[in-house]
Amino acid sequence: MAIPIIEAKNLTKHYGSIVAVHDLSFAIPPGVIYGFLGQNGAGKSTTMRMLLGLIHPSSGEVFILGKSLRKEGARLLRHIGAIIERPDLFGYLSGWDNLRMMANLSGQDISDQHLHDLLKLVHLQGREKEKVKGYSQGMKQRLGIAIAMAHNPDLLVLDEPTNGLDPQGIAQMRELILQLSREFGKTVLISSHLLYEIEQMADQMLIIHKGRKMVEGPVHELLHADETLVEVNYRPHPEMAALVAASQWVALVQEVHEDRLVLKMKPALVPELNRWLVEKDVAVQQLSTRHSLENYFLNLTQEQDSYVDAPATRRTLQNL
Amino acid sequence: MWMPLLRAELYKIFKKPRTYLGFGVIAAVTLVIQLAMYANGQSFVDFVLQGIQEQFDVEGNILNGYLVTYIILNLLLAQVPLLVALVAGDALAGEAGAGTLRLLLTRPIGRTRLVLAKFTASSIYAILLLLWLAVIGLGLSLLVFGRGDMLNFTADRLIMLLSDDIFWRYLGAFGFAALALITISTLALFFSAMAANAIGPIVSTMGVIILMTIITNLELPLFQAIKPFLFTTHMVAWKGFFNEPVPYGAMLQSALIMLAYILVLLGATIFVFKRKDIQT
Repeated sequence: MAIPIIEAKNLTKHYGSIVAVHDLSFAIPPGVIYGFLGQNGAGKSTTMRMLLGLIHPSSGEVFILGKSLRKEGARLLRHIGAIIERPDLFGYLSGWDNLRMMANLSGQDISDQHLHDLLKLVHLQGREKEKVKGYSQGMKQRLGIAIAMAHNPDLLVLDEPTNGLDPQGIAQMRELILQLSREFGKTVLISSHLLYEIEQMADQMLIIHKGRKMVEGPVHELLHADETLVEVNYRPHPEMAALVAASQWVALVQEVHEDRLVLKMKPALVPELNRWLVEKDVAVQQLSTRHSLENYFLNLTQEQDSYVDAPATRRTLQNL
Repeated sequence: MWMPLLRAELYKIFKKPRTYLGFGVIAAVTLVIQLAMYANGQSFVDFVLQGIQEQFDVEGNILNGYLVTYIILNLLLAQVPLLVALVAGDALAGEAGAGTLRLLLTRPIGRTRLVLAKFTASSIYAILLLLWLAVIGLGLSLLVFGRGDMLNFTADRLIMLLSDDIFWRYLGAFGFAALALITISTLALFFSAMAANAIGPIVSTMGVIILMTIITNLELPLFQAIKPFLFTTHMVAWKGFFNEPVPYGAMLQSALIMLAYILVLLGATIFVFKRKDIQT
């Protein structure tokens, strides 16, 4: 088995009595896009900062290509290019100055031509002479990617790279990240609270909630990505459960109520479902699909919240 | 890696408009003093010499470039630390506040090296301020007021320095002032390592200087024991170059104490910064 590009072993971070990250372990193999998913405040940025040595873990250790970051120090960061949270750049310098200066700090001899190629890749060619303080958020994000890529790192760490972008910017960023993975063979660790984004891009993913790992694995295995949840809302129909039980849909049903039906199915079957509802005289008010990851994520976090909150609830009840 | 890092730090300093504030302030204050001396310098000299002229004949170009520069240094060297603190206090905290510190620290540069680069860049800035002061203060004063023997009034005597025996003293004084400003710069950098915006370190540095200066100037028995250990006591030791004979022993001691401040503060800055979590 190949050495992981980056590996977290039992990472924990306390801030006083608050546990931001608890005993988190994972390993990212070369060549994948690894999604790091969690709600705001789940501990994603703290974890990513620990991976880069920006925050010191309370316990646990980070390994980059099998070497301890604590022991080897910052020199291991030459294997990584990163944007953490938002690309705060030097606004009083031009895009080119930012890129050239940060490239010079990578410890490698990087040609101007390589940097111009990167500017072309991130669609900033022709704008590099302008001061960064005049750039849009999307331009800053793309320049941040170019800076992260300047020294041709093995791993790109991108923390919420679509934050603050408009829909077009999000689509461009997604395309760019997929291109970096497919064409340039980069390993990418990408965090997001935008579930759809992770589902669109990642090969593997890890979900954390309140600083704890909830699940990790290949996205397609975790999500059955070929299936989606379809929710149908209709005028109350007392016979609905019986109708469904006698139909071909029974195997796909997740929930059935007088006014609502939820099925897990392939999107291609939706028109057929619609026809069947019409035949059965069901007065459909709304038919919608729910992203399976979103549902999966919500289920997981709600289960965790119930689990975490249960002792407190029991204590409250006992006190009564 | 060291040179690109130092170049980057210097490049950032000299790309910020704030950096040139210091050069502008020095030029403005120096020119105002020179203008005042040009207009009313002779009456100033007559006033200072009124007690002496009753007993001695004082001849020659008394209001010369050397004397004017000495007056400028006395008035200005107490203010230059604020200008140095503006840049050094911003060095780490300003970048933390702007978020660029985490961008820098995702590069394989190391925190110790970054602190050393910022220390060196801030020191270079302080030295350049002094060079500017030398050019515009000494250079322009000599051009406008000419050369001559210099009269230096100390608390208990009048010292006359011959014209040919003065220039080297200014070189020494500027070198000594550079050491004092680097001490201030290191203090500001130390505060900067602990903060997430530049205002706190700049104000803290000025606060420490004001407090120590007050203690240095108060002739109270309570403070006598600690005065020799305050860097503000030694920052004015550059004036020793204009004594006769030059008190080399005392000046060396002052220089060593400031050097000790620099080394201890720099070590403390590295210690604090290496343990700091970058949250901004």
